[in-house]
Amino acid sequence: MNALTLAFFLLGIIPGVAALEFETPSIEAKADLSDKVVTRDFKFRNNGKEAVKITQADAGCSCLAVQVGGGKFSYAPGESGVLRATFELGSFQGTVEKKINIWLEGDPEEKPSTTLTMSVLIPVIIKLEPKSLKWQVGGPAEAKVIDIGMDYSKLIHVTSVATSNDLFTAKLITVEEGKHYQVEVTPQKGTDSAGLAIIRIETDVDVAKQRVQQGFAVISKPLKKTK
Amino acid sequence: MNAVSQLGVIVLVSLAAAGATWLVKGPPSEPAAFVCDPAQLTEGEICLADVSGNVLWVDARTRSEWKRNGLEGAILWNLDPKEDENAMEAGVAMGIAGGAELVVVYCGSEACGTSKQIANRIRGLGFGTPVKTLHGGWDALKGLGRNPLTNSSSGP
Repeated sequence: MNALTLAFFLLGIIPGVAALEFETPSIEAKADLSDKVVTRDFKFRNNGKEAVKITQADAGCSCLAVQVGGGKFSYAPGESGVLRATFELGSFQGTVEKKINIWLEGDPEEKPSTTLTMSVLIPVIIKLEPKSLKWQVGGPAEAKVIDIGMDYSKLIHVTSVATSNDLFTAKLITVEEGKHYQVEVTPQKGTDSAGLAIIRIETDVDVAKQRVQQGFAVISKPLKKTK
Repeated sequence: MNAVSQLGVIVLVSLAAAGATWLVKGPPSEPAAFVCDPAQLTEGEICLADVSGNVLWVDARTRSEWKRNGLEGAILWNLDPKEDENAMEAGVAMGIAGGAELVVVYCGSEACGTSKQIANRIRGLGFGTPVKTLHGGWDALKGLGRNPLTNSSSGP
């Protein structure tokens, strides 16, 4: 072995030269309402000329577990493997996107070799429109309405409506039983000073994590213009 | 010259070069502070230098990170499904109603992405207060104390 060969050999083992290639670095998954977890596999292959070792896979969230298939962390050139991502849905609705950082042996802590993305779409079955009702300080203390629409295979009834304080009153109006409701909110003490109340809306939906919804009623000063 | 001798020569030359660099330029310096280039801002982002006024900070990192070194007064809202989203949402709503002129969301790093999703959820509340994500995330805040607007190191 001459000096040049030796130098290339040394360069060859510099961390980060080898890398894993993922078939699909970004995966979208649609969750069913009954799901507690969503699992997807990220397939990869070592297309480099050196063996690589996965030292860490982290999504920065206890909600997303990442496992390397078969507990195998080292991959020879040409070898393939799988990273399995398991997302716990918890109480979230709508789209949640999580990044999964993958570190190979020798990667600096602040720069993982690869970042994968997992997007999970969790159906929204009770929709509040608008989410917040606003009044201006000194403005008319008129009643305003939050519209509640249900998008589910079964009827969903609103079982109670309450405000978090006595600045506002909230009255439930049934537009179509099990399908469509309104909450009429009125600042019962006028609009002389700023304030906020949470409007808590309870339903009988059989999806526990979506049973309680909330809207807001706020009396505020006019917003200042910012750049 | 055999391979072992060649390796020895390379190691010696490398050590000599490293030593000379140390003598001329001194020991390694602290990592450079995050520099925000306004030309690199994407929609809805803001540089730390442009954050001013009555600001509501929203920490989109994990609860443990928020507890460890979250900014003074920052409210936690992340995408951990184990958290109570209604409670986090209410906390931010109350912070905005408390008179915030600007909401700034930060997460762990520029690559994190969670702050943009949280910012969209806050905009969706419909309060009308401007909502921005901090360019650079925590990288831009590191070492600036509990309140980067005053460089205060005091806790909440």
